Amino acid sequence: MKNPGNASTSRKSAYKSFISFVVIVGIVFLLPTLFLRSTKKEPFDTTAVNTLVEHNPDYVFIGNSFLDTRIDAEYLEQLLETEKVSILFKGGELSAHWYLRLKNQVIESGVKPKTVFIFFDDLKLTMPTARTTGSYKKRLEVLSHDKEETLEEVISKNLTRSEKLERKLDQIYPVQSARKSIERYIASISLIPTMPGDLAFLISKFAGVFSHKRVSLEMQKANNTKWSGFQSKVNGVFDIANQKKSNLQNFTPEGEKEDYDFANNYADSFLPVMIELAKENNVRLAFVRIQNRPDLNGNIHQSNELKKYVADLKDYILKNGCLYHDFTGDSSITRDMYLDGSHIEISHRKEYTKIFLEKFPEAFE
Amino acid sequence: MIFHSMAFIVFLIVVLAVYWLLKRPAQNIFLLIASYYFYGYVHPWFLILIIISTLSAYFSGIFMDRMPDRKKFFLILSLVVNLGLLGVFKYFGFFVENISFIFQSLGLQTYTMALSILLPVGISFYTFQTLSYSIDLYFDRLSPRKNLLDFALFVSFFPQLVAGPIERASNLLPQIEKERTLTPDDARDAFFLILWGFFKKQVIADNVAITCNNIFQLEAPTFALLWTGVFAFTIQIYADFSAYTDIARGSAKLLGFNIVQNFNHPYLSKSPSEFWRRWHMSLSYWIRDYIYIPLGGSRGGHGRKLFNLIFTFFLCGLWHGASWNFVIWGVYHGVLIELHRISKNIVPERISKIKALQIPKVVFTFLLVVIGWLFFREQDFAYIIKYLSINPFKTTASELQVASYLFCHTLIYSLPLWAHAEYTYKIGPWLSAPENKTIMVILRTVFAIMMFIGILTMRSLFTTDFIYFQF
Repeated sequence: MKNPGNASTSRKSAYKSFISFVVIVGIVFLLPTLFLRSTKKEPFDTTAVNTLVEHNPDYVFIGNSFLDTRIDAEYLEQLLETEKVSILFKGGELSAHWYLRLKNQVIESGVKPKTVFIFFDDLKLTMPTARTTGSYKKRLEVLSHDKEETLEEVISKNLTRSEKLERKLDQIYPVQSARKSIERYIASISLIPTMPGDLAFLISKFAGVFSHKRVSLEMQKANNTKWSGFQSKVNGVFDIANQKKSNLQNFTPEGEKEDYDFANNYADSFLPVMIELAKENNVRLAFVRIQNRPDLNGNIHQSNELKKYVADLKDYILKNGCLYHDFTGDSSITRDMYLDGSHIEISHRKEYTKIFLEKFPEAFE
Repeated sequence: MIFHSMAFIVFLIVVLAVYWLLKRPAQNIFLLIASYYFYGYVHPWFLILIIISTLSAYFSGIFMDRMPDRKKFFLILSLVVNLGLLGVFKYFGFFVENISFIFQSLGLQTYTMALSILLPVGISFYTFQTLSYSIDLYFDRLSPRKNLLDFALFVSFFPQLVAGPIERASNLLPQIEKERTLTPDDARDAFFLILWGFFKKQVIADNVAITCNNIFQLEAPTFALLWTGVFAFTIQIYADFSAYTDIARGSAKLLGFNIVQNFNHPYLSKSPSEFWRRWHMSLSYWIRDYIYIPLGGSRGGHGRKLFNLIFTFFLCGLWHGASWNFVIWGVYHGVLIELHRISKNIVPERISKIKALQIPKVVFTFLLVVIGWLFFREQDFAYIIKYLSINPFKTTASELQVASYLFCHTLIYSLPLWAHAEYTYKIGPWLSAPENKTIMVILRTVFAIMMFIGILTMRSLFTTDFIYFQF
């Protein structure tokens, strides 16, 4: 005969287990939200605007590290003699950032440059969501006012479903600052065996974290120099010249197949937005396509899809009254000038600047 | 559909929600449909192959039962169909290439047909499952299944379909054929297992993969850099593959199934033989039961024993891929096991069991396994030769620094794996006592929170398919 007491006890036990399971899952997913800082927007940085106003440049350059390693602003000013130059860049920035710099820095500053140059590589002008998450999102915030409707509209139009979900998760679990810190700590610890002399610095840095003491600026600067020196070593080891030949031959630019379809991509990108903005504010835009490093035989590899894309892009830019110059295939920019696959060696920056001025004179008229 | 994607999470939630509203046989039918949807998500035509494999094994079994005097014929039929599928879709290009090479070496002209065949995901796994069913039937270890839908589910069960574990019919079919239950304890264990799997894949495997891939893209890495890359691959492949297994086992558990364990801390092995009792266990036991033992195993003269061992590992290597580097890797492990056997005859057991020697044995075995991974990772034979002839003393201070940094970086990411091993062996047995259940739950919850935060903050932004998907 069944004992009703046993059945009741068994049901209670199952019920308790079920509740404890739900509680555990809830704790695991909800507790992190207590640790992670809220997503407060970074305030708009007025430094660049103030600098532009003060400098009142005749020419402004917008880009990323590809630009920074190519154009020496001071040297260009010497070559131009009486005209002034400003460079607005940060490493890794792409079209969303360029759009904001054009809008919130150049145009809002009120300066009236003769030409605004935008340096880009390959497909980046029509990849609006590239580098708009993670730490790059913070950079977007620094370049944005509180409301940026056009920015949000262009980005939202181009997000896939899973990217939208990722962004939602980023809002619930804002981990970017934590992620950056953790990456730095892991890198710092990994460096200990290679830089034992800096062990004291690293220990004081960790101690600083827990006791909220600040490490002296001198030590920070010294460490930054050593870290950037080490990064150069890493870049040197993995330089494109050291890659397997099969990798070099098969080198293709970033992007999926659909990214090469200019006709279907340009309308929803920041490209028409920037062109329209420039027209409304009487700013002449000049788009400059950089050349990636030639191979050992001095050749540049471009797929047929890329060539078609670039031809369509050039056509569109010129039809909209902007200037365009493509350095791809320019024999005066030789392989030995390159630091890696895309950046120019700093020691060749002046040389590149001179070549740029010589090859693109119409932008300086 | 890949496990570490939003699509899979949504899929799993929907499947669970509907599945537990149903009762058998509707549950099995629904699960079969879900499994086919899962498998055909990227390439629907792959379903044709899995259905062919399923039907061939199923009907072979039916006919073996009805015509016992023709059992051998139907076994051979099942073998031919399944090995044929494997041969065409996985090894055709490899065979053509090698035969062509031989002909050309003999000065004969060849006309090779370049056939671009897409390798169906999971084919090596589910064909081995159907093969083991047919073989077990032949030897009367199983009774033939009459329910086609249940059998089809055994072949296509989605948690373990694309990268194992390779399930035996004797384990999975009875579970398919009976009612399943899900207790809150099972659900909790499954949840922890899946979370640990995601952590291993997204935090450990995908992060060390960056180091490994960058180093293996170098034309001429230095000795230190190369072996740093191999070490990174050692961590990557274990974290990646065991992650898949954990997610598979956790998902199966949520559906009320227990599928076999595939890994048991293989890098803590004290010998090459032990490594194969801990690494990809479902495959190693498969090749033991269906290749090594039928060949004669460790019976017979020394020459025969050696042949059985090396040939088995030759096939094991070939199973992993249609490329000579995998064969070399397999044979390398066969040779290691043979050398271990010889050493057992030389070194008295009482010396081998000395406590102080246990850690050195683990370290030495680990180093041997790491060396083997070089053959597995580098598919170009010319580069393997080049790498093995690198002068260990020819390096620059920069390269040594970079190698040291990357080695430490990889070591840091591998720490959770070693910690998990410590937990399993030192703390786990104590915690599994019934009186310590509450402490166990609390501790595992704390670990789960840490893993979840780890996934959020440390997951690699660069992710790839699971390595074993290519097999």
